[in-house]
Amino acid sequence: MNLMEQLERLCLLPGVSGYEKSVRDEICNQLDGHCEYQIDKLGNVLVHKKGVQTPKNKIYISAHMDEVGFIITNIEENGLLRFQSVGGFDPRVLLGRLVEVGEQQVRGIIGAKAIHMLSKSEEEKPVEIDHLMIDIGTDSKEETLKVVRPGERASFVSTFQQLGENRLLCKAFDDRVGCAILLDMCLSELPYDCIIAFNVGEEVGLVGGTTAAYQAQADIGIAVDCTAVSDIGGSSPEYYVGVQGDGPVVSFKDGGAVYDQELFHLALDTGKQAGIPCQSKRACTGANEAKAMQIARGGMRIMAISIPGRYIHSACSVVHKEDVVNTRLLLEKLLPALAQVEKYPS
Amino acid sequence: MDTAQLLLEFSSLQAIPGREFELFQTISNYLSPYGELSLSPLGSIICQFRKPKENGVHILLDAHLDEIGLIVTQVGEDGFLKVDSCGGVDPRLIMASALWIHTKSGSIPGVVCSIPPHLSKGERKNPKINEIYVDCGLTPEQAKEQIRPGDAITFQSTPAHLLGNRITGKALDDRSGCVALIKALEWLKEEPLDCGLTLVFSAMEEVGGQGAQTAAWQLNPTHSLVIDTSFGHTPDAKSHECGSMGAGPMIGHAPLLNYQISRQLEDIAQQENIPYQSEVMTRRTGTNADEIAMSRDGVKTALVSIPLRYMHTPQELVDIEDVENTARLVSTWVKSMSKGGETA
Repeated sequence: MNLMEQLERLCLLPGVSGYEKSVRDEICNQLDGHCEYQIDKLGNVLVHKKGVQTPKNKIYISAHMDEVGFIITNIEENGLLRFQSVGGFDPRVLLGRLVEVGEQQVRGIIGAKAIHMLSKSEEEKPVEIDHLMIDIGTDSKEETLKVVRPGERASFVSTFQQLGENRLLCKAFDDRVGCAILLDMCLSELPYDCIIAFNVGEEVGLVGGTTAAYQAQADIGIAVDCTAVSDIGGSSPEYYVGVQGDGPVVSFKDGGAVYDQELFHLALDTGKQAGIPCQSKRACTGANEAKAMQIARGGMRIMAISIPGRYIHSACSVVHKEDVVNTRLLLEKLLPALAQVEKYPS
Repeated sequence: MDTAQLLLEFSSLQAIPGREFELFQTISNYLSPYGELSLSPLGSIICQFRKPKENGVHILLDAHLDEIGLIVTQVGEDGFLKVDSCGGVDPRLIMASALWIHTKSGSIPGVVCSIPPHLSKGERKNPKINEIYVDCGLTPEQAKEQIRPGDAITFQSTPAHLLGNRITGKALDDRSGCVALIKALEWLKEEPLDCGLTLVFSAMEEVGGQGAQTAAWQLNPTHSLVIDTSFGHTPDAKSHECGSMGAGPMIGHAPLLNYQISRQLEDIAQQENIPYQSEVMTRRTGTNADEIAMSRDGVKTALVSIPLRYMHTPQELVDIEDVENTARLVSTWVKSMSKGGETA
């Protein structure tokens, strides 16, 4: 399977934080027969990937398997489901979407009363999650409980589409794009050993990322995530954060951490030397698993290499195919560069 | 044809107000067993089921074919599109919505731009439809070459059979009405009728009812029955403003509707054991009934609505039994009108 096929397969699976089973099963199915891996107590998949050589210091790279989604909090007497978000959502991207709920993947509509019944002032306000419900077509609590229980997750129903010549449109690029890239690395020959992790619960507080980083006992940590950019209509360049098509986004600081300065420049220089487009992140927004890596045990020197994503945390996120490919290439080129790096900044 | 299948197929048709004529061939495939088809100047599709006799009763059955959507207003210098609504698009859900842009060389996907929670600041308000941008992933040159102002945009949606008897999809307002009328004609097919009967799948209901208005003028009926959709109750709405899903067609009462026909429909429903509900309106009905009733020197008009949840979203919801019961009510009423059941 090539990288794009991996991406499509992974994005369409349901895997809301805390119930990443489908994604984990798919990844492990593919790793079987190729790599040694273990599944830890929280459900992270840790791969001790053998490369051609062993680096001076241990390198750890992670992506997260979970996507933002919903959790069912209550079943009403009328059969409708009440829910809350798992991970951060703008409520304006929820109403009217079709979701798949629970182990049985029952389809339901995120609904509220029709717009015709609102006053002018109500029309302007987003419908908050507390006022939304999921309708699976039942009329009683009893009927609903046959197929869905409180605590189950719901994720968007989505297709995987090409958008223009170069872009892709689907749910969950954050962070199945990271998973697809790291899975491709696991299934390829790499120049150096590294630990590759597919983690759980990033969106709800770096849960898996924290425990995986602890187990990795590494010196250098790289988070491969999907970062929110807004190089879109109605925005202006000072707010873009990153530009799709300009390659992987390398962070110097974000909402979670100050990154290792030497490694930040190393990433950009490595890209330049190898002819791989890459860009530095233009704002200090967002956070990812590198925050947890930095403070694991005695600390790691951290990097974030991100794929720029539009409209993330919605049913319709968009990535640029070349950015995906170039991130994969950059990571491979980084391994030999990092192999020579010391345990401390210089 | 199976009602659920019809609903799923009709939900998948793409026609914003003004583009209904593009569906003429497809609709002909469904309607040609029932009569001669023609297209009105505004794009309404007309099927003459039984030719009206001179001075005889002539019934116009109407459901609207158009769905709410968007229309391209500008192709931006940056490759992003500006749009506006064609019909009452819901601003509460427009952000990050997946769309189909229907260009001269085919339909391409697009997404309504939205700023993710990580980057947004300040108070969140729903955007105005004419302030949003649409991302088709095209360069400015590609966008200018492929897309023109005036191109139609519909919402991407997943037509699906949910649990029980429920069907979800876009445009069930009023494609479910169209389906109910097809089923009614199916049941009337072999009936000898003494009255004229013309079916109109009307254009442009969502932007002012111009299709129904002009079709009514052209056909000059004596009576009309309009099938549209109305609000199916959800807990956040007032019960008295809604009907219940599965409780049957909502028989309309309103000043401009014909009072005797409203009661006649209720009597028929009771006699035939068809579940029904009432919908009482105080002024306009907000449907094609308004335009048809005031055509020429007036038409005796009735309105029956199918209860529908999540109106004007990409995943509306109807109950299959409500659609079938609406069809039964319509066909039984037509038969009674033919037998001189007209008391109005």
